[in-house]
Amino acid sequence: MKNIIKILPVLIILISCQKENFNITNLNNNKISALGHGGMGIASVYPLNSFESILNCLSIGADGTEIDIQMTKDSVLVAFHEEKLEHVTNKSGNIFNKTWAEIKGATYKEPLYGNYQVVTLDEIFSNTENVTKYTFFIDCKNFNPDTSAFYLNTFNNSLIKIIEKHNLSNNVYIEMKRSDIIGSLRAKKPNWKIFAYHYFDQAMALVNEFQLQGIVMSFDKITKEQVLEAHNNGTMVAVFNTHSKSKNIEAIEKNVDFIQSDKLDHLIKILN
Amino acid sequence: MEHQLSLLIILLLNLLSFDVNSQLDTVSVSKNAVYIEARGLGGYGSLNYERIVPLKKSISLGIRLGLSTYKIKDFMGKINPDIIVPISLNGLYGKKHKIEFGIGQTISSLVKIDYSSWTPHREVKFSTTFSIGYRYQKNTGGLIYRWSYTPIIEFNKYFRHWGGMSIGYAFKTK
Repeated sequence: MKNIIKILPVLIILISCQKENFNITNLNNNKISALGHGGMGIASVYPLNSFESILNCLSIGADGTEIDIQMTKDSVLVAFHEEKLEHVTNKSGNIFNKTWAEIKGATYKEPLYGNYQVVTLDEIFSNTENVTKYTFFIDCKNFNPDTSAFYLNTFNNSLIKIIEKHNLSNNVYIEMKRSDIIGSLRAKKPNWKIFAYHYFDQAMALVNEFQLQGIVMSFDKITKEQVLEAHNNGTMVAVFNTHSKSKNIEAIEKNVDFIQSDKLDHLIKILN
Repeated sequence: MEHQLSLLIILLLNLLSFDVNSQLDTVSVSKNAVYIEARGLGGYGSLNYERIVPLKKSISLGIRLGLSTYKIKDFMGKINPDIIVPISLNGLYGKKHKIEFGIGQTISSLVKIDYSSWTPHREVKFSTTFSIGYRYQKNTGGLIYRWSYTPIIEFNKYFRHWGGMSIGYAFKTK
């Protein structure tokens, strides 16, 4: 009995130190890119898409991060997830109804005493050291119901301008849901990596219609077989909503190409 | 704001030196308490010490000093902790089941981006806090439970509804 008590802690340490071995086969050179979800994810003390959250994510060794963007009335791309400012900041209204001058200085409500501010995509890229060594998934949140050609052009031109300004055309993957915006961007940039953000069947339909490079969805809405089906079609797969260690592992075992994780430190550790 | 804080500290020090025995002719009363507060004035949670100054049988004052943090390492991975210090003066009414009300200042010193130079910097801010709630605490000491509504004027600009729950221990006097 005494021996068992002596050996038990050693066994626990050995088991906890055991490295996970994954046999990854995908379209990303058989490697899964570990990305942050809006930076450090939803459970972080830093607000989603805040510059602090994104810097934190990159500083711990992530391959890059997903960033949500929305366009203001004066065509500025703002890094912001929610439909309305009042959900998480001290200002109110829709971003598409406001100018950047009206939004600038908005601070996130959480954490208490945090005082972290809403920032633009341009500010993030301009102030990230060695920005071209990272991968960015730009999730286009087009809450603006406007479907006019003018709006589509303005949105896509703003996006193209910033990405080209920072020489990030090869590092950026664009996530889009609306077919009108996808069609408009595809016409302007035939070689850009655009991912359809939808349920599997709808996403694959958009991929085939616009010759997109990939699909993106919640990790629990796609099976391992569907990932294989997408890969057989030459389509890459990015997933999000991995909030825990077990969900990270589940996503890896599906052989996806990119994981936008909310448990990023764990994902980086097990993939490296 | 620093002026307000100085006044609060002077008031607290005066209360700490208050001669309780000249005012109270009851059995010995617990004067020191510690408690952990979930949410509340420390943000997500805080560890607190409270010096209790009995005034009458059912009335006492509590001078609270807390400590909290969000992160030890900053967003660049350097050891550079966020520090949050709630300080408050609490009035307590009741014997075992008490009504508590208080006012105070929370000092927050958080590491964030300076949005003009885009470099990390430490930002120190003051926020005015209030509290009203229920506390279970025997005058002679023992376990403490409390829950409070703790509205905050964050950075003395933005009103925030807030609240907290605590569990702790009041040390028994000899």
